[in-house]
Amino acid sequence: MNISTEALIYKAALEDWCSTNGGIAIVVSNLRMLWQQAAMESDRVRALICYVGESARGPFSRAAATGRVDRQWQIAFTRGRGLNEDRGTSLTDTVGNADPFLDLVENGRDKIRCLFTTSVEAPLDYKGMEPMSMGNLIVDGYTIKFSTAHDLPGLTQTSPTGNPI
Amino acid sequence: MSSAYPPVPTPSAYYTQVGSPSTIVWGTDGLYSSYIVVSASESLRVEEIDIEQGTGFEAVVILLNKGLDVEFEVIDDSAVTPPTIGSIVTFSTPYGSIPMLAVQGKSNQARKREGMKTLSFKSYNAITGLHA
Repeated sequence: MNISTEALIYKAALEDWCSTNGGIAIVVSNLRMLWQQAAMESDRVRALICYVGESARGPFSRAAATGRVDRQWQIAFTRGRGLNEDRGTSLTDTVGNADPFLDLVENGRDKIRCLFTTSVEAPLDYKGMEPMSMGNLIVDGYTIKFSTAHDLPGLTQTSPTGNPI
Repeated sequence: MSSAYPPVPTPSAYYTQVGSPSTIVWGTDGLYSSYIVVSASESLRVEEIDIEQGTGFEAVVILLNKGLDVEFEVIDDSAVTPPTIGSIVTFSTPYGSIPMLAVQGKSNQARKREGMKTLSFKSYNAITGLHA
C-alpha cells in the first residue's frame, strides 16, 4: 500500500466522524500546514492528517535487506482556537448542539485504532495523544500519534546488462 | 497522472524491484490464537548417537528425531483459560501443524507491568496423536 492510499483511508474513515459534527477531514502536507490549519479561527471540527516520515525496521546491519518500514502518522483533532470564557465546559459538556470535545477526540482516535487494513501488523501501533500547544499558540485540539508497518518491494540483483545474476 | 507503484527501473540497474512484498517471516501472529504471543521458540529434539570405530572416531552417526519442543511467552489474559498440564493442543509451527502435549506452565508478575505466562509443549514422534 502506498502512502497516498493510506492517507486517503484515514481521510475516508474520519470524514464520517467529521461530517457528523459539522467538520471536515484534510490531508495536510507537513506539520507546519497542520499547525496553520489548526490555528484557523473556526469552530468547525477538523481532522488534520499528516504523514511524518518512515523509518526502516531493525538494526542497520539488516534493515535494508529485510525491507520493513514503520510509517509515522500524526492526526490532529481540533475545533479551532476555541478560547471560550470557560474552555473546560466545552471539553466535557454538550454546549448548544456541540458534543463534548474530549468525547469527539476519543471517538476519532478509536475510528483510527479500529482500522486493520493499513498495516501489515494489525492493529496499528497507537503511541499516544498530546494536547496541541506551541509557544504562545493555543488551539483547542489534540494530536494522536501512531505508526503502521509496511514491506518495501523486494529487490532482485541484476547485472549491468539487465540479466539476473 | 498517477505513476505505477513500484516503479520499474531501467534494465541497466543493478537491483530491480520485484514488486511483491517481503516473504520474510515477521512477528508471532497465528502461532497461538487465544493469547498475545510475545515470543515463541520451536526446537527439534534430536538426539545424536555416535558409534565409534576402533581408533575412537565416529564411524556411524544416528540422528534420532524425537519430536518438537515449543515454548511460548504470552501476555496473561484472564479471558483465556490456560491449557492444563497433560492436555493436547494443536499448533501451527514452522515445522507444520502438530498436536502437542502441555508439559509446563509458569506465570510471573511485576508492578506496573502486564502479567506474563510461559507455556511449554512437546510433541513425540513415536506416540500416536502427538506428532504431525
